[in-house]
Amino acid sequence: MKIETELVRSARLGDKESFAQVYDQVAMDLYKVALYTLGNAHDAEDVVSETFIEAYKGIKNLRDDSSFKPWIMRILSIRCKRRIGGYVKEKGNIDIEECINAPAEEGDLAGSASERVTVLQALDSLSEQERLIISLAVMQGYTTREVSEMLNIPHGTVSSKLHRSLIKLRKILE
Amino acid sequence: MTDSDKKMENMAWLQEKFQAETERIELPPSLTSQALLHLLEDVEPEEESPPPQGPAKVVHPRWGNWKPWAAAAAIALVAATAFHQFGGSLVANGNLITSASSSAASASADSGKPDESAPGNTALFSGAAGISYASDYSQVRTLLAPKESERVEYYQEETGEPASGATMDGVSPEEGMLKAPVPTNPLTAGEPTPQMEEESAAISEGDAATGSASEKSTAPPAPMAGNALVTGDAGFTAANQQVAGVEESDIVKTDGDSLFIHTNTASSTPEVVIVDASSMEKLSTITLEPSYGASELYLWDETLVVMQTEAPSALPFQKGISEAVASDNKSYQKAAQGETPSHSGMAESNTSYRDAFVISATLFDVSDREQPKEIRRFEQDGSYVSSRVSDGTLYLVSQKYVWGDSSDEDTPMDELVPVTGDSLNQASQLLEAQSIVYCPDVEIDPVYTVVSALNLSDCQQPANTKAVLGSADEIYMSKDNLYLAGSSDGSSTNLVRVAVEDSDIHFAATGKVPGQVLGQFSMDESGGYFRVASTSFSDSGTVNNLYVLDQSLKQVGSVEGLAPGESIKSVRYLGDTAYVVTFREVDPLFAIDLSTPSKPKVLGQLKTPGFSEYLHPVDSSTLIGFGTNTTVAENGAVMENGMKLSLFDVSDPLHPKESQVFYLGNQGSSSEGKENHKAFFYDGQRGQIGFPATIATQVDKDKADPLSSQNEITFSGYLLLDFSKEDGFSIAAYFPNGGEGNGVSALGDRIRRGVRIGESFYTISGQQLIRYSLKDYEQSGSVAL
Repeated sequence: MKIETELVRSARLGDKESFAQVYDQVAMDLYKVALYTLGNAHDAEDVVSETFIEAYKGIKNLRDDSSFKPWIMRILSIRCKRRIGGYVKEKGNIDIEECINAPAEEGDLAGSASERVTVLQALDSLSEQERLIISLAVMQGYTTREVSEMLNIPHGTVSSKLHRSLIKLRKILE
Repeated sequence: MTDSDKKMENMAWLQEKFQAETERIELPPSLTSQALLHLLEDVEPEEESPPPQGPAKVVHPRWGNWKPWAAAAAIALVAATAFHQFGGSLVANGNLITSASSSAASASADSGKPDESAPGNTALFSGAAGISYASDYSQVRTLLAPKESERVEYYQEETGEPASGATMDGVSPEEGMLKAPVPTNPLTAGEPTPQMEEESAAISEGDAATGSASEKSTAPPAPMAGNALVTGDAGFTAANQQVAGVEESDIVKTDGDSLFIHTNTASSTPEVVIVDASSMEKLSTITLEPSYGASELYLWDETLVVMQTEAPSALPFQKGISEAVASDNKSYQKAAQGETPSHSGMAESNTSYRDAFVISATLFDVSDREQPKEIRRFEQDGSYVSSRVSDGTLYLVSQKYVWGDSSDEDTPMDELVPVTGDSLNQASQLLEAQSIVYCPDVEIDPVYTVVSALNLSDCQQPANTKAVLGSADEIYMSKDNLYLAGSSDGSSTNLVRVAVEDSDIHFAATGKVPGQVLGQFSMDESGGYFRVASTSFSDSGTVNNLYVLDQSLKQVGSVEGLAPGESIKSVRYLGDTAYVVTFREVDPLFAIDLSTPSKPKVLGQLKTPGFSEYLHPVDSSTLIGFGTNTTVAENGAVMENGMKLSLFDVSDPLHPKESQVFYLGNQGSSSEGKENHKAFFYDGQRGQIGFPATIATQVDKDKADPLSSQNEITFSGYLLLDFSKEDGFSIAAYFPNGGEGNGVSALGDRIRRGVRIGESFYTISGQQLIRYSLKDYEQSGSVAL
């Protein structure tokens, strides 16, 4: 999806309505990344709304209107990292129930429902940081270099973590 | 199928899976902009929010009052020409070149143009060391020019043909390399670098490390076999650092009288709190800008260094750079003539963006503990890689990615070249072309590894910055050399030796070894030889290697093919012996003799269940191993089952023994001390070790599977253990988070470090400092941070 730079521009110049529109274009992606990283809907909602506020406060500093999405993803990533830092457990588990929005009895095919559970269980085997990298690189299609910039982790580390996580996930899922 | 094909295929396969999965997710109604807009009622977008004020606080000053224009680009970062003249002999004799760090203004200060007349600097370094300096910015642009192959949508990888064997330039080291290592290939740059062990990567969430106690920086540490072992009698525990005399940053530092604590809690404004260790009173608080990553301290004499990662918008010297840029860049020339070049002017150019992180080192004079005074601030482009302090000089290493399109002449130079800023000159500075190193005939990725040296005792001395095109993820530093290690494509590791002496830094040699380097402990320097352990991946699985290289990073000896199918979990060098732990199902500890550099030799090995992730030397014949215990499940899967401490007796290197072992908890237990040596407290004098730990226990043996992640957390906090060679390990004290109960209720504010001063032990979390008596382990005071 292409974000209209004109809209970003007017948001940057302080137009609240434009900001709301730009946000709506990325809200779903923000939420998905947060949900998969943090593993529960409650925290995911929190960090997305924090990101919304922070992005609004900071959009004046955005240098390049065409880079709105990576920029707001980075804000989200930082928020996720902070949230992870505050977790009670060393490794937050994925709440599978919460990640599957549609209740089981709503007539999903049994096969696909169980497949979804499997994907989530596989993700559960990763650390939050790995999930964040997977979310950004696999689901959102960012390059490892972009992910490295967003997360402020050296490129090599992102690359190796992604590589390892991919192998791990594939092993579990197959 | 090549490795990268496999990666791409994995990627595509998973993308499909995820797509099916994520389509089900719906955005909660609470997250639509309409639902959130009310949150903005009291929020106005601001350039920057004013720093929080407090009566007793020293507020980090902003830069508004400075005159960024006054001295734009007036600082010469490098004495480039002096270096070039001596460069030829550098490799040959392996000595440092100590060019006077002259303050002669760089050419760019006057004309904005780099000195193009620097003689023959391209040729000088293209010898064995494989290093050249750029001659001007236009060459830098050319070097950075993007290759078509990089225009890949996601997860780019070199997908070259297998090595022809004829090329020595190592642009894309292939599998063939494993059999025929080419030791002195020039540095390539920043391709994805699968490292051998994800857990290990020293740079994790906190991004830079974190550390343990600290030591009076001037106190000579007691060296032992090249390792920074221990403590002194200074009355407090030394920092756990790899090399004697080479300081590493941490979140807590002490000089035995005061504690300097970086409170880096997620939610609040980060601060450095200075506490009197005996009266347990807060002496002062330094309020910091929020950091986006590395945020740690050094204490050198009476100078406190605060390292931060900041968003580029925080770069106060932003404006200073425009003039320097102007001469090299048409759009800036226009800007300079027509209107005042400014922040917004940059945004208007809009072709790309200089959107990197900036790391900063802020120096405070803390001789008056109650009134710390900011005395200098230095900034450098890029993400934090690591840093060290040696002999009063701070060495900063960052990685800067170049996003700008170098082929577009409207792309301003500050998007293509690293920028530094220094309060000494109150200005930002583009790194001179002549301070940028590249390796001729090598395809270059748009990544810089930037190295700066800053004298901590002389605030008037200009900093010295150089950069190499290529990426480095791990560093190792001895007293004379800083080694950068970065991987290009997972099959090999590129090495750069940077010779250091005080503020002089010189890229002296590059080399390459097959495989991936785990972390700083995989590397070591002794007797003029650099040793590095690596794990390499091939179609038949992993193998592990150890290489000995000389000062020009030419390989002189090696042991290859150790422990097929396993990968390195930890390494420690003790003098001329390397101890290497690899793991698949059991934990072999290898002792490798390096006394003859050209003929390293495996002496003995030991296999035990589990694996040590950190090895700490006790004496020349004893090592402590701290790591993970494992169990092989019925289906053959290897499962983690709690943590494990081992005492290895290596007095007979032919037959290493695990003389003592101690288990902690079941699946779900964890400790930062396993992955981060700075969180591992070692007190050889008292025979104690400590680390933050969360212990999960299988509570109901009938109900719960010991390997289940549902185990109950029975303790969380800090563990102090007694150890001896004879009696092994025993828990001396449990210091819970929050100072009460089992620490589980205070999990949100976990203890991260422990420090001993005299007869007291201090535990430090983001919000609390607690003191315990080491006689009875009772609390004897606390401070809310």
